[in-house]
Amino acid sequence: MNSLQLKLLVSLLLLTGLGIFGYKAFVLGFPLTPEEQTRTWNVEARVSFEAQDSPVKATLQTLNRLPRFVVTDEYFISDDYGLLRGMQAEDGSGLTNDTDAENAIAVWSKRSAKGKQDLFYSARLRPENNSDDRTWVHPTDIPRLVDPQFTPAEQAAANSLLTKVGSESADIETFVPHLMQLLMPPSDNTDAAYLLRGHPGRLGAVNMAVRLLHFSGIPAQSVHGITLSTSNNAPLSHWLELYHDGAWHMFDVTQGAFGTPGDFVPWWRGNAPLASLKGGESLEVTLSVAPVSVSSLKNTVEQLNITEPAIMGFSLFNLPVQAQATYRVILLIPIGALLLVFLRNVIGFSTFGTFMPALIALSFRETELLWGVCLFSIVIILGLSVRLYLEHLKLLLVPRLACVLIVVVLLMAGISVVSFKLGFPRGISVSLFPMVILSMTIERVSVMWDEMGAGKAIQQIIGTMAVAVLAYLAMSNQYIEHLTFVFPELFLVLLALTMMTGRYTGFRLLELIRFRALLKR
Amino acid sequence: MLGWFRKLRSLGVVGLNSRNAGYVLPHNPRPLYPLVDDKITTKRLTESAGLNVPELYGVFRSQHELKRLPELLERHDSFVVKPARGAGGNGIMVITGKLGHSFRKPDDSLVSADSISFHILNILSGMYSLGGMPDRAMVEYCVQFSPVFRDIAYQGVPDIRIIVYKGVPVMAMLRLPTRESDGKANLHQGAMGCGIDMRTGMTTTAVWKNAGCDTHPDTLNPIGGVAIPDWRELLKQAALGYTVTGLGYLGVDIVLDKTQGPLILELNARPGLAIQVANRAGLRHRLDSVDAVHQSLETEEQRIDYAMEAFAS
Repeated sequence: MNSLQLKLLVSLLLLTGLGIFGYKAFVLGFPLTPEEQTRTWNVEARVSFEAQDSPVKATLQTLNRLPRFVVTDEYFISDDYGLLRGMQAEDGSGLTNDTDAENAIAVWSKRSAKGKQDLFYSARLRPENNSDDRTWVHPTDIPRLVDPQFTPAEQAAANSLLTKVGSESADIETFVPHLMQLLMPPSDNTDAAYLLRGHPGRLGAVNMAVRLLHFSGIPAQSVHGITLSTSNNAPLSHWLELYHDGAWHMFDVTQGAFGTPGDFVPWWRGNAPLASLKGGESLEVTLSVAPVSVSSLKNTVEQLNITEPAIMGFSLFNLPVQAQATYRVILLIPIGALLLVFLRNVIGFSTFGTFMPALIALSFRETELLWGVCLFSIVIILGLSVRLYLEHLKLLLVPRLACVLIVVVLLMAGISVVSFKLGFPRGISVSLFPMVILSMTIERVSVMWDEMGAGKAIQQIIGTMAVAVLAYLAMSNQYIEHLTFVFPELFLVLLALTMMTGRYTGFRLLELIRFRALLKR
Repeated sequence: MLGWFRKLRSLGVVGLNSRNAGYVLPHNPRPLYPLVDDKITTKRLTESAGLNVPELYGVFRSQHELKRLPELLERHDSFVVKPARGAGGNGIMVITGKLGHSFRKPDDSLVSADSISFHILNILSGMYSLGGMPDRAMVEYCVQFSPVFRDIAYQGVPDIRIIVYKGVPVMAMLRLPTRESDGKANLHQGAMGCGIDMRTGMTTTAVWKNAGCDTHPDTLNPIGGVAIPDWRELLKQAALGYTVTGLGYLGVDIVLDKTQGPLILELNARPGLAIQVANRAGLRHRLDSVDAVHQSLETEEQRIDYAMEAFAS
């Protein structure tokens, strides 16, 4: 019954622990190693213009809902402008609260400004799940056909243009490139020139193409964005998204051909311009893109803070940094404990105190291994000699313990001062924690020295030290530290393993030596 | 290496993990431990049940009670000072005689009355107790050990350890102090262990420092074939240890006194496993056979009969 209960409990713990671990590692994208790096992108838009000593209102498209990216760290830098953020429908009309609208905009405004103005928008693009996967995600809604609202004259021009393009092409694959060719400036087609009046530049041509496509019954929309590569003056590129025969087609306006966007990041959709301005002139927008490598862990944490605040609210990452640093260390103690359970119950080591070696290992973390072992040996040897001398004075146990503690403190202070004087800064890395452990060890050693003789005591010191070094190696391993801190649910697995060891009734390895007389026959 | 493990298992050797999980944890309920962990309690319990124990001369509970020490030292020439909750035979001071104002230890070294009182103070402050808890010191009769073992013991008091499982003595071992063990009878401190035939009470094989051996390292006399007198009485005392404490897996330590016969020195709820090495036999088969029949054994006599019958070597 007990054993069944244990098995159930162990498998439950294993399943829960590994389940949560798998979910975090493979769905939420927590990295499995501490040094994993992810490339994020810093995107900056600089809006500059000449103000004309009148009310100023500048509108800029901002990043919103990018497929495969999470936008964080958005900053709007402007001296003393008022800032409004909101959504904008794709037709470019003003601010709306409609969350279905595709575009996000920022509106800077000021009662009066004069001279050259510079406004900045910057944001960090973090790839979801730390992956480099850049496959294009098509919109889920199929666009409605809308009336292009041509005037009768424009309708005639559009008809004539579409007839010409239609007669020169065979299918949609050839129709769209021909249409774009005629529309792209400089255009020598008179119909195109008439339609494009008042809609200058590439953006005008692209948006006119969308209207014409709607006019000929093909749902389409324009997407404007940038390419992710280092640049101080990133060019805008434009794509047409067409929905035809039940499938999406992407037309790259810059290349003049159908294709699949690779490193393209959509900035906004529809016929609004990137930036617009009232009360100023010579508006100019410069976009710059720069990659920033950050640790994948940090990236995931920042992302989840935005996308899954409920999960992150109950994680260790939500603690103050100071507490996080403490937990990084505390969470290593169970690792040392499991190792000790294994070394004691399966191998058969005997050590001073049950978990003393784990604590000694923890104090090695603060001094580093070699210096820690040296310091430990020096202080224990000196402390023991003091202890053995105190034996002659026939002091009572507790005062004698206190004497040892006082001497250990003095010794540590002395070692720190001397080693610092000699130029070993490591000597001062001693902190409060190892001190207590040292005095306890000295007392235990000296009691054992009295009772079991020097040989046995030294043997146990060396055993304890060896186990402590092993525990230190496990507990200072940065992968283990990373795993325990990022995936504390692994402790359920650890608990299950420890429980299983608790029911191990086989021989200990060192019992082979103990019972060797029996084996000889 | 797996072959070695298999061999140990087929010999029926019980390891520490197996002893703890299979015998100590299920058969020795924790609340019964104080009965055997505190030697003063054990002494009262066994005395009232008619078991033979060394006479208690005095108990020291606190520092100021040390006033009574000189008077106590006056009355007795030989005695043993022990911590009530000591572990592994630590903190035991044996005084075999008086020489003027000094006291003689078994190795003929002399100690002063001051040293004895300092030793008691150490015991009181918990130096030898489990977990360093404050303790009590007891002064009791120093066993005048029976000449039976004169040829095979070096100083100190040889004692007989009997493992009692559910009231049935299953295995016994004679522990002989050596020069190396400083008169102590603990195997890990260098004492010698001899297996004992459960039927006759004769010593059989011996082990010293984890290796088989036929002669005592100090006296050079052969170990085997020494008969322990009153063997059946000894087994009965051991079996009574179970009746008194209720501990299913019990180690009983018995010494043979020149005049008083077998005396129970202490009871142990976690007896060690070296007894298997001394007897060159595993405990498992014997424990299993007790498991099979213990329901039908109702009196101590029946249990002893069974043990002498089933576990003869």
